[in-house]
This record gives sequence, C-alpha cells and structure tokens, in this order.
Amino acid sequence: MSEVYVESFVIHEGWANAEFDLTELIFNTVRETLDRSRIDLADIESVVLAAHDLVDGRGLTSMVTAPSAACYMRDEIRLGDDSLAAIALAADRIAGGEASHSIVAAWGRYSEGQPSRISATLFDPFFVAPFGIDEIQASAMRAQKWLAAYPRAEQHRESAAAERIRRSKQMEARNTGPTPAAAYPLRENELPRWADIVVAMILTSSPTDLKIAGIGQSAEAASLGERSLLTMPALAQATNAAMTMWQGTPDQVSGLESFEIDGLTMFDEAIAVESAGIAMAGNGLAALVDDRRINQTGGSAAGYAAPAMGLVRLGTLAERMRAEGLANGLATGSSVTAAQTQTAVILEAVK
Amino acid sequence: MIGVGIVGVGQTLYRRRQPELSTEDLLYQAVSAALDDAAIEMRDVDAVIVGVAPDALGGVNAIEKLAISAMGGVGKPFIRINTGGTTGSAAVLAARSMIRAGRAGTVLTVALDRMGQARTAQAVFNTIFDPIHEKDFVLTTVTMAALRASMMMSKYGYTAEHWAQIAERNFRNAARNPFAQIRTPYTKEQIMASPLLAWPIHLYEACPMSEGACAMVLTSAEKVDGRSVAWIQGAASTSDVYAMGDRTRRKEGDLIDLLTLRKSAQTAYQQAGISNPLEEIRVFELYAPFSPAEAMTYAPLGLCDGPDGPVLIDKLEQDPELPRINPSGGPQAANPVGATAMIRIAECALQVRGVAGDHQIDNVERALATGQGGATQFTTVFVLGQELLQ
Repeated sequence: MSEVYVESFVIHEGWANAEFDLTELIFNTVRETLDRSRIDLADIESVVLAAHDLVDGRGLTSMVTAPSAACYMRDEIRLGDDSLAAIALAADRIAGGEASHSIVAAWGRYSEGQPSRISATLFDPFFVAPFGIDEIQASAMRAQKWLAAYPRAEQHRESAAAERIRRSKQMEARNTGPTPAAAYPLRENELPRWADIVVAMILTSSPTDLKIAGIGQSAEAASLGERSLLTMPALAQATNAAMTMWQGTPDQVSGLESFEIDGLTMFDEAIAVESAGIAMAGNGLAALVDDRRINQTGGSAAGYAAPAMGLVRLGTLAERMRAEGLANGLATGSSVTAAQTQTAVILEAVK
Repeated sequence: MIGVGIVGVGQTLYRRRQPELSTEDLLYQAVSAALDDAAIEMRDVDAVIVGVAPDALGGVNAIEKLAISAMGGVGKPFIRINTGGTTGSAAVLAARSMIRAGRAGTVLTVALDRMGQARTAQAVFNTIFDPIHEKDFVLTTVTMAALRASMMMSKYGYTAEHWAQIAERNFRNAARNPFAQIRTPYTKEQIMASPLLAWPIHLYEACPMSEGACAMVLTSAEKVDGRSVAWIQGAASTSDVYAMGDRTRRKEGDLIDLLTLRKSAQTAYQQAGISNPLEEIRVFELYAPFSPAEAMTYAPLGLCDGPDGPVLIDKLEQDPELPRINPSGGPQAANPVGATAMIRIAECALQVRGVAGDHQIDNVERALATGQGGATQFTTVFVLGQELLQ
C-alpha cells in the first residue's frame, strides 16, 4: 500500500458574494490549492468531490460544477456525503495504487438556498416530516436529552458558548452569514453560522510533512427513535477504526495533540467530543472550554455549510499542526441525517 | 495491486412503478439476493457503498440514509455516490478502491432508483441543464439524444432503420430476461410506427422510466474462497466538459465521438491486456438509453471506425462469432437511472460466471460494461473476466 500525504489546502468562506458564481468560487479555490502545491495539474489523476444536488439547487450538480474542479478528462467521482468521506475515498485511490495525486473538493453555498427547508426533506415524509423537524431541531432534541442526563454540565454551557464565539472571531475575515432559527433549548450563541464555503485539498503519495495515518467510518440507523441521541456510536466506531489503522489499537485517542471535531451545534460538538473518546460522558461542554486542543477556531460558530465541513475540519487541523509543529491530530466529519454517518481521519506529522 | 472480483449479484424486478414495495423493500430484496448469491451474511460485509442519483427523483432527500437498515449499513462504513447515470458504476469503482486500499475485504454495493414515485421525473431530469443559457433551447434528455442521432445520420449515414434494428434486438433479448421491465419483442415495423418523441427517436427507441434496485458483493482475491467470481480486469472513469456546444467542434473528438468513453476504454483495455475488443470480448452491456446512443459507442469502444458503424449493425446481427450486445435487453428494457450502470456490470458478472439463465451467452470469458451519465459527460468502462490478472 502507498502512504497518503496532505499536500495543500485552501478554504474560501464568505456570504452572498455576488462577484463570483459558484463555479468561479470552485475554480478559484481549486486553482489556488494547486498553486500552493508542488504538483502540476497535468499530474493529477483523480478528483473526488462532495456536493449535494439540493444544496446547489441542481438536478445533477456535478454536471455544471465538476469541470470547475479540474475534472476534465480525469477520473472524477462525486459523493453525496460529507467531504471527509471524500477524503477517505481519495486516500483509498492513492493507497490502492490507482492514483498518485488526487484533488478533493467540496462546497455548499447556503446564501443561495434554504438550508432549513432542505434539511427538513431528509426526514420520513409521512411519519416525521409532519412534525416540521429539521437538522437544528434534531440537534435540539440531543441537547435536551444531554442536559437532562448531565444537569451539572449546565454550569459550563455559557462559558462553552462564549469560548467558541471568541475563537471563531479569528475567522471573522471570512465573513459568515446569519445563524439559523433556534429551537429550544438551543440559544443563538450555540448555533452554527451559515456560510458559503468552498474547500479543496490535494492528497499525494509523495511524502510531505503530514501523513494520513488512520481512517475510520461508520453509520447509525436513520430513525431518531432508534438512536440514543446522548452519544454518537458511529463516531465512536469511526474513531476506533482510525486509531486501530494507525496504531493497531483503538485506545489512546485522548492522547492526541489536536482535535477538529465536526458538529452542527455546540451540543453536537460536545457529544461528538465525548463519543470520539476525547472527554468522558457529560464532560463534553467542559472540554470545549478547557481543552485547548479541541476546535481552536470555534467549530461551527466559524461557519457551516454541508457537505464541506469534514474537509474544513481536516484542513484546519492540517494548518494548525503545521503552524504549531504538532505531532498528530484527529478530524471528524459527519453527514445527514443528524450525524448519521461519520468519518474520522488521523493526521501524523512526518519528521 | 489487490485483485477484486464480483461474487454476488442481486436484482429486483424492474418496473415503471412498484407502489406495493417501499424503498426499504426494494433494497432488502436486492441486497438479500446478492448476499445469497455470494453465500455470505451481512456480518461478513465490511462496508456498504450505495449509489443513488438525483434526490428529487425519489421524493426524499438522501433516501439511502433513511433506508440504511434495509442495506445492513448500520455500524459499517457507508458512503453515497451520485454521478448521474454513472452512479451505479461509480459506486463499484469506489468499492474497488476501498478493497485495494486494504480498508475492506468485502464490500456490498447497492444502487437504487425510485423515479416512479415522482410525477415530475422528466422535469427533474430537465433541471440538469443550465437554466440560464440553455433555457431558450428545448434541451431535455430526449432532445439531447435526438440531436446526436441526427448528427450520426448526417456524418456516418445511419438511417431510421438502423435505430429500429438496434431496438428490435434489445427487445428480443429482453424477452429472455426475467428482471426486464419491457419483455415484449417489438418488431422493427412496430418500433418505427411508435410515436415520434423527437426526430428521429421513436417511443420504442427510448428507455422507459423504471424503478428497481441492484446489489453486488465485491471481494478481494484472498476472500473469494472458491466462489464463482467475475474478476474486474480493467476499469476506468473519465469526465468531460459540461456544455455540449464545447464538445461539438472539438478537434480531439466531437459530440458523437464520445472522447471520454474512448479514453476510459483505452485505460480499461490496457489494464485487461486487450488489443482487439471485437475478438477478445464476448459480451457488451452498453449504457444506451436510446438506440442511437448504442451505435455512438461502437467506435470509441474500438469495435469499428466511425463511418463503419452502420455496417457493423448488420454484421452483429448476422455473424454469431461477433460479440453479443446487451443480452439483458439493456436500458431500453429497463432504466432505473441510478442503478442502470451497476446493472450493466451485474449482467456482465452473471455472463462471465455463466449464471445468466435464459439470456446466458456461450463461452463468455470476458464481458464489458459501460456507464454514461450527465448527457455523456461522465463515462465508466468495466472489463470483467474469468481470469484474475496480476
């Protein structure tokens, strides 16, 4: 098997910028990712995309958008899933010897759509949709259950929300959009900020300073009634699989030096932190405040647009590891419905 | 590289509508049949990769997530692929990658379409085209195919009879395929007398709208364990530009030269060690939703030069030594879009394994499946064979 390395990463984040259409944003982002790399476009063999038809408002979005991501006369595939799953597939293509270099790109332009209405169409149209539920409300149900199970965690709630807002201020230049409408018990400062996001990363078999050391994926049942909501078992399985791929054992996740954890709201992030094994059950919010290794840029408070978020988390992790000289880290990405599918990727610095 | 083979195939019946079956029912049927065929259980599967084409066709966003339990995907890596018409074959490519990377030994691939639930299926398809620049041109999936058919008639001398001849053979073959939606062996005369959709394409030269699911079990060479297997000897995927106008006068290959199919075929042939596909491949399962679209593939696949296509149609009918095209009836007999490209591979796997039933062709050592999507913007080619190539 070939080793897989991170070459370059670029994120474009903004809100309702009328100067560029989506294909131009994709082209600019992929072009800049190539420019920041040592790899020539002619040497790219594989392109793996993550994009949603309904988010892009197209019957088949990749017809119009894929050529902007350098797909012309290349092996291109699009996932209707979170972009960290796209990273996993691109890494598979390199590890399996099918390609030497791969572009992974993902985007979501929430300023042009209605994210809440789109997410409402994810639920069973007969038995669930009549309740008017969307992804924010599903997250609110998680939050209610979690707060009921761990009432003492309430003391960390305000500080955790303030901390993620504080951290997200570093990203203000990216100019995010509004928060979605809140659902009880969620408060505005616990919500994501909608954004227009295009991200791209180049993976390669040529050694760089960052290696993909572990990948894990798993999934939960669809029905919220079948799920605990207090935990994210798919994330626990994905993280264990990534750790096992890296070190042969699922243990010692909490010993990693950095974490970029995907979650729609603050409570999703807190529960994900617990499920990944970074904090004990009931301590997720406290970890978001006290553990400086987790979501240093504020998580979803710094901008959110599915299905780009898993790649945003991985790219943010890569940038942080390079900037701070960290040895390793974990990024996670979740996909609909209500974090039903999960991908975990471990990066390791190469000496 | 790790060898990857297909050891299990499962299909539902393909029908215009299947209101008596839920999406979960369809998926469960296909998955159960594939697992049975492979003689494994769900616990033996390491990952599930599912292909579903446009969400709007099924009426539910991310319908695969809602139906995950019917595919046994809970607790496993579960990925959704959506590349339009090539969705089913792209899912197989993803499964092959996962096995080759060593992240899985056995992968279940599943593909589905439920377009019978959407009264507006054609309207959904029409949204694949640019809503601003192409709105004044009545561009639909049918007129898109008709445009090319007329180009082929002008450039290479195809006639309306050729299109009907291809359709007649497809329906004749489909009559022996128990899964096919249209099993009536329409004659050439009946086909040419059917209503004109968009000149020169008649109703019976076009695919039907279909619902159904297909599933396959892929496994690494070390896990085949004596099972009947169709090895993936070569496979490739290539993407083109979006605008058909950009492909119309391109010097490397125009709109009907299918440059991406040619490139995918060349790569797959190289991997499989094929130099003369006409002699070395016994069965072709072609993703051709309209009969002219089949003829458009002949030259890119290396079966003839472009101008010789009309003659090849007659030869294929007359010479039993030449390859058999679409023994299943092809997409003209059933076209559940998100699954169609996987069905082509599944039918090739059945042929190579010698278990295709009434439509089995003799001595199939190798078979080729194509996938095409997004107005032929996306193309896949698979070569399956009885021999594991190192």
